[in-house]
Amino acid sequence: MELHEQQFDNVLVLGLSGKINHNGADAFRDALLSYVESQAASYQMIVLNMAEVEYMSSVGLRSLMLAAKKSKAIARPIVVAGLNETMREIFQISRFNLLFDVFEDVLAAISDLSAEGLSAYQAQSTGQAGE
Amino acid sequence: MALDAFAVERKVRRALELAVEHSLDSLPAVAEFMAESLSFPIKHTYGGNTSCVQIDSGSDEFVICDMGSGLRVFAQDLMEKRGAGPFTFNLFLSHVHWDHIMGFPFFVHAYIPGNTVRIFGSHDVLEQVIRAQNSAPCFSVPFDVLGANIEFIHMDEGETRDVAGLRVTNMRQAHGGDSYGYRFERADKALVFSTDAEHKIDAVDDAGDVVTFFRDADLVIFDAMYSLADSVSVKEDWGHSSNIVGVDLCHLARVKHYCMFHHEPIYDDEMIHQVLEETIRYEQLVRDDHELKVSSAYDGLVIDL
Repeated sequence: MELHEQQFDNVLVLGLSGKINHNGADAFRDALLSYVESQAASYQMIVLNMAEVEYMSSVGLRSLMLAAKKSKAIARPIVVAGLNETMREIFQISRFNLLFDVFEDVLAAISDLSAEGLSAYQAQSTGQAGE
Repeated sequence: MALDAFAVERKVRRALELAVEHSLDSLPAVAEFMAESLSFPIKHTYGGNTSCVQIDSGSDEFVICDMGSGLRVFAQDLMEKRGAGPFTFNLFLSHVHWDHIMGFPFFVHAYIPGNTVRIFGSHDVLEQVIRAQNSAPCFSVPFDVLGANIEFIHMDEGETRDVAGLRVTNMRQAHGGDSYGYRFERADKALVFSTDAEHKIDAVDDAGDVVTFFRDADLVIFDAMYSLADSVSVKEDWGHSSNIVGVDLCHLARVKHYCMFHHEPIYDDEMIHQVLEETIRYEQLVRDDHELKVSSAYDGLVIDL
């Protein structure tokens, strides 16, 4: 499992990749909770980009739920984006598609969450296109 | 839940609708149609009895987990096939919630002198609860009328005993008032009965104990009552687990066969079957190098180990 972050104004995008299972479960949970509970953070909402996740077992899903409960308590919402075919099935089987707001991709998620975040995302995309 | 008249009618109607597409002009054609074209929830039912599982160890003594309403069916079948006794029954109780003891007042062999009924459990209130259930105002036949020799045997947490040719070990589980799972071993075979057990969202680190208890079992009968989403949200702390947590624990323990048990009572046959198909699919999606057989318990199911 790997995790990388990008911030677009007040939106943090966490890109997850690899297998999220019992191996490394503690590290995944702790990392996720640290982003959610960070006092110093300037972001107000979190998008989890799952496009590169090979699969996520129940132990990862339980960490997601734990993070979502913490985030709700401090009004820092978490949404999910970019489910690939496998993750779409796992969300449906676990019924996590009923617990989380799920967006087609990161752009769709940021568009829904934050005008400032969208401007920052578009500015970065435009900049990259111009390079 | 038991089927009502309308549910049976829906099954018959669906079967006949499918039959229209086939030429059923002979008994072999009917048999083939039933085997090939009718799914489990159309031609069968998962049943509606509460928790009761017999383990045939090859001993003359009977071994049974829980005394749910299935115990009455067991006793009726035994009476028809082998009569009233004398027999010795070893009953291992997960806990004393009503759906796990409600079959006992209808366990006909407990009424018959000469039979021995040993009830194993770890709850201090075990005897008190069973006696109370066979007393007014809950039941019309008092406990002391029961003719069998009835013994209550306390098992400490983590205790191992040799009973009816089986080595039996228990494990405390998270459930309202606690419940206990049992691991039964004989020669190179192992079976785990683990119902009414919640694997909580923030107790992932405790999975190691469960995995050790399940390790290399030929069969794990597991509380798969809820979806994972339900078990960690609206039904958190209700004392039950989910279908996919069962898969993951059995994968980690390298279990051979995972049988989903204690179905959600609000599910009909179609829904239980859908959950089975989804769980089989989940097992394929998250499998690394250990293939796990997945099935779903139904009244009357027999599994050979």
